[in-house]
Amino acid sequence: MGLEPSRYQDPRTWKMTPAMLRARRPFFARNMAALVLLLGTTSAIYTYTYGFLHRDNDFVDVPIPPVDEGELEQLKQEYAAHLESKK
Amino acid sequence: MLCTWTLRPGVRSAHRALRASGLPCIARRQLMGFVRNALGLEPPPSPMDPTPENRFHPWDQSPVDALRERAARIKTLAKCPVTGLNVEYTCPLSGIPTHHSREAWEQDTQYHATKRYETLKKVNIYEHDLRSGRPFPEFDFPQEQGYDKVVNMTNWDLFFYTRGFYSMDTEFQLAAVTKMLSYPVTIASLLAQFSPYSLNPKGPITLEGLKSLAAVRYTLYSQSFNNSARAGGVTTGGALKNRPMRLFVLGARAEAQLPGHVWKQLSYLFPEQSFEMVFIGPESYYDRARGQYVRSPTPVVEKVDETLKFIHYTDYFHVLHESQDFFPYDPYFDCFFTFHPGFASPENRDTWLSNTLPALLDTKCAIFTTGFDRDDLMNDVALLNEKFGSEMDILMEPTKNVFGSTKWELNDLNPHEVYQFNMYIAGFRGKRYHTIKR
Repeated sequence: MGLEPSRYQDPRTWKMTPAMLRARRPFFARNMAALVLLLGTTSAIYTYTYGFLHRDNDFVDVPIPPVDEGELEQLKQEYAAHLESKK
Repeated sequence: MLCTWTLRPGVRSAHRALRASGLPCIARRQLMGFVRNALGLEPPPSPMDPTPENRFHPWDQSPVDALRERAARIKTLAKCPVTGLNVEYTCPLSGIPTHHSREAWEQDTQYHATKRYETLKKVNIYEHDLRSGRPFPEFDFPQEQGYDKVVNMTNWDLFFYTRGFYSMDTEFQLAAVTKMLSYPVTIASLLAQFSPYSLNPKGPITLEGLKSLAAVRYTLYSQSFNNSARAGGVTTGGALKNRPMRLFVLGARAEAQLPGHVWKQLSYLFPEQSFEMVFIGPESYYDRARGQYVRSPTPVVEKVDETLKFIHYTDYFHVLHESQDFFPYDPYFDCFFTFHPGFASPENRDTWLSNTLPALLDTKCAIFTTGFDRDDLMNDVALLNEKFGSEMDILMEPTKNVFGSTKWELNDLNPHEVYQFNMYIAGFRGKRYHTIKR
């Protein structure tokens, strides 16, 4: 004994019958609005998170070679000042 | 194994026939069917399926005898709206005799402007479909409704879907079924707790109407009130008076001849309540064996089952009211219905106005009345207001009946007059309180 197949689906193609589509019509617009709202909320959260995680700014202060002369000079001075302060 | 399990019996026997005879045409059809199935396409329409095209025949050349006779009757009775002469010309768009000649048909601009022929064509094709001899699986009505399944009474489609009727995909199936079910479901839609008619100003029900309907609903759902009270450990005064609810149908004709399983649909919607359908009127009992309406001095009782009983009183209501056959009336248990009474129509206006309506208002129970079309009901309500305005309350403003028949009908005396059964509905009741003059 199993579940009876719905009379409102085509037994061959499993499509909804016109009678079922008519019965669902009063709810169609609001269902679609709810669908858009839910999909919009989830996709907005997803895209925000994706964008936030991809903003990779953890080591932006670490100089990456090649470093030009002027910057190297400045860094050396900073380092010297750092060593000076430790003494 | 899987293959034979998925194939339906008909297909399986076709397979067997194919193996036995090896006919190439069956093989091709099988292959096409398989491909179509795999692609998820619709099967080809069967020639028995009703469509507006294959159900259309001019009535005077109809393959059905009854409709040829009806066309002849229209031609003898009806008058052309343009020339005033006999109707002889059959409109080619609707297939129904409507005018005296082709010239008159062409001159009738109103007929073409309002597209009345489209409605007339629906009359034509629905009548042919009923007599086409196609299978009518939609007349297999569902039985009990599961207690956890609520019936939605917003419109016919939702009612059929939530009740689990056969999937009625075409207007032909709807027309055939709604004409029959219009009577019980109209009653149920008024009395049910999830009625499609809401209170003024959002709907047609007036405050007085809500009072009457609340009384009836209190009876219909008293069992569930009591059950919840008992579950909470509270003892109410027990169930209400234990008697079946009486639904009076006045001037009953077609509705009194509906078979038991059609009215049973009303009981399935209120499974806890037993009903007595009281059909009143000289044409309320039709003897099938004798083929005529029978008058009987005593009520004819037919018992459908434990919860539904038909009682036919073949006399006018006011006679029975005066002899106190139905006494006492109880607005909690009794409700009156008049399906297309035509209070205002000249032929039975006197009987209704001078005798029956005063008796009806005297009962102080809710009375609901329907009309063939807007004007029919509006005339009735206008007449009621004029004659009994101070003695009655309007329970329900005239409004389109959600559960009216969708089958279009035709008046043989005037084929331009098309209507549907129970198209409009209104409600009224005798005033329950004495008016006090200040």
